[in-house]
Amino acid sequence: MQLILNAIASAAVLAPAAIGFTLIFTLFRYTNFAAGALMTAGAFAAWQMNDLGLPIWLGGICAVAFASGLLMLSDRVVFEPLRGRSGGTLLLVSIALSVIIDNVIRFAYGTQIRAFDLPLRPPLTYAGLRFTPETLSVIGISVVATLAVGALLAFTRLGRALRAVADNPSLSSIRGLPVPRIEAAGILLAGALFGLSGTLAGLDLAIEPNLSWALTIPVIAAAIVGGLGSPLGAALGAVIIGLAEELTVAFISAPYKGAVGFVVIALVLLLRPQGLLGRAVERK
Amino acid sequence: MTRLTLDHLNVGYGGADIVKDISLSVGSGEIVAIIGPNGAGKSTLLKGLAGVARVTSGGLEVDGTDLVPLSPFERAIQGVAFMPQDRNVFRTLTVTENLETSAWGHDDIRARMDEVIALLPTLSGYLNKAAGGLSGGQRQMAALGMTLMSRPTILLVDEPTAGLSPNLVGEMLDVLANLTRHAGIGVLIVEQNARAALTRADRAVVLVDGRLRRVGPAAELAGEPDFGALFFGDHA
Ligand SMILES: Nc1ncnc2c1ncn2[C@@H]1O[C@H](COP(=O)(O)OP(=O)(O)OP(=O)(O)O)[C@@H](O)[C@H]1O
Ligand SMILES: [Mg+2]
Repeated sequence: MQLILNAIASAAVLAPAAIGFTLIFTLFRYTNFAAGALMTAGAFAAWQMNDLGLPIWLGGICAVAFASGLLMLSDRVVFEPLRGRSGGTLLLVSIALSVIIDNVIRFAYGTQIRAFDLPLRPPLTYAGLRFTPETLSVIGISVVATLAVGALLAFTRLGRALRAVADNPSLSSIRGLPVPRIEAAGILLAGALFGLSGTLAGLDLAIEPNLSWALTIPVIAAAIVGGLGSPLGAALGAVIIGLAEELTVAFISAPYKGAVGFVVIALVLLLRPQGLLGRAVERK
Repeated sequence: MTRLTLDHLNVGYGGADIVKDISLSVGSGEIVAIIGPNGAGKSTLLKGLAGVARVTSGGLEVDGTDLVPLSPFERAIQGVAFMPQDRNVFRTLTVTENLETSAWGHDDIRARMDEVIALLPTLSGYLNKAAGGLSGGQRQMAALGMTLMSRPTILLVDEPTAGLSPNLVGEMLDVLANLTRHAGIGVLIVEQNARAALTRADRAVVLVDGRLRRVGPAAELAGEPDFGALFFGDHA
């Protein structure tokens, strides 16, 4: 049971970012390897605000805004000029972007490990489970965010338009949709989700520049397992990755945790290229 | 009143022009049918008008506005609605969502939906189905409905009756014909069902190898003894 709770907590950290990654993938058909770096940038933004005296929830909001703006900026500077290039090219560019963001963070903050300034509270126990109040917040915030994005995509005008553009951008322009504006909204939303995940990671884990590497692969794995389509799929993918990681820690050895994402990606690509929930992704 | 004017228009995809030297006008309330063999450039011509293929030279105006420098989106805003021959619906959206999305920027979506469903009543049978799961004929109905959601002034439709059962072919063409007369829009329609199209169209053009082979009143073209030859592009 403790294992399942831990898995859900890791899933809660990964889920918003996995949804953001899925959003970028469906809109632009590339693997944004900078997911972890953007999350880390968000975590540091939240830490910085927290360090300046803002309460952590305000720091989180700043992180959401910061990561959103950072993804938008990187899109305008690097991805937009390369629109239409192959997914492989954009993957390489996003790896480079990730390295740049990581190093800027390292340069500014060093490799020291940091944590949010949170009131010290004893862990709670309930039905034999041990958890911190932060764990509960992480899970709660993540569930709310996942449902909110799901509802946005399913029921709002912007959500429909985002799905339409992801489905067929050319037809979208023909039908009078302002595609660049809708794409921009998608980028801002995805960036915000990276920032949120970064803040949650900061609550759940330690804040350090190496966070980036620890997060990127699980996020991408969760998105792929989830089928690269719906936000609920991505959230479910996050739960599966969280479980796989906790099982690895429990039954194999903690250092292998980092390999779980790679193994899961390889397995999914071999056995079920469309993901667990997804339909085949159309190649263009 | 002339709505759409093509003046010595050339269209291509970046290589050699596919469609060459087309001069044509479509008036308010008028249907002009484009017929011609496969590969003649019928779709390319419509794509050039919609901004999806490139106009390399010549003039193109709607209600006095020069369309050539405009993007597909800007042309849509100008009242040009293009129904492509394929990939003409959002497959992952339901039919309702497809229709709603096609009226972006308007706040009377509900009224427009009712209007379109009244024109194409068969749509009401599968409004909540994902467009990717529709039959060929249902998909064409949905795609036509989507183009009508913008209340266009110029309608460019590429083989709307493809995949429709024979009785629906006539029905869809009649809907288009009625709409054209009543709403005063101008319609340029590419049709494989040439005879069915010619009975509803005012004028027709025959496109062969990217050039206009014939232009004339639809009834006159339909009555020509060598109509079949014209249609199939034989040099008889
Ligand atoms: N995207 C494209 N890029 C380059 N060439 C194209 C493209 N689309 C069509 N063509 C070429 O343009 C020519 C005309 O094609 P088009 O689709 O306009 O014919 P069509 O008259 O609509 O035929 P059909 O009756 O089969 O629909 C063909 O030779 C085709 O190979
Ligand atoms: Mg065609």
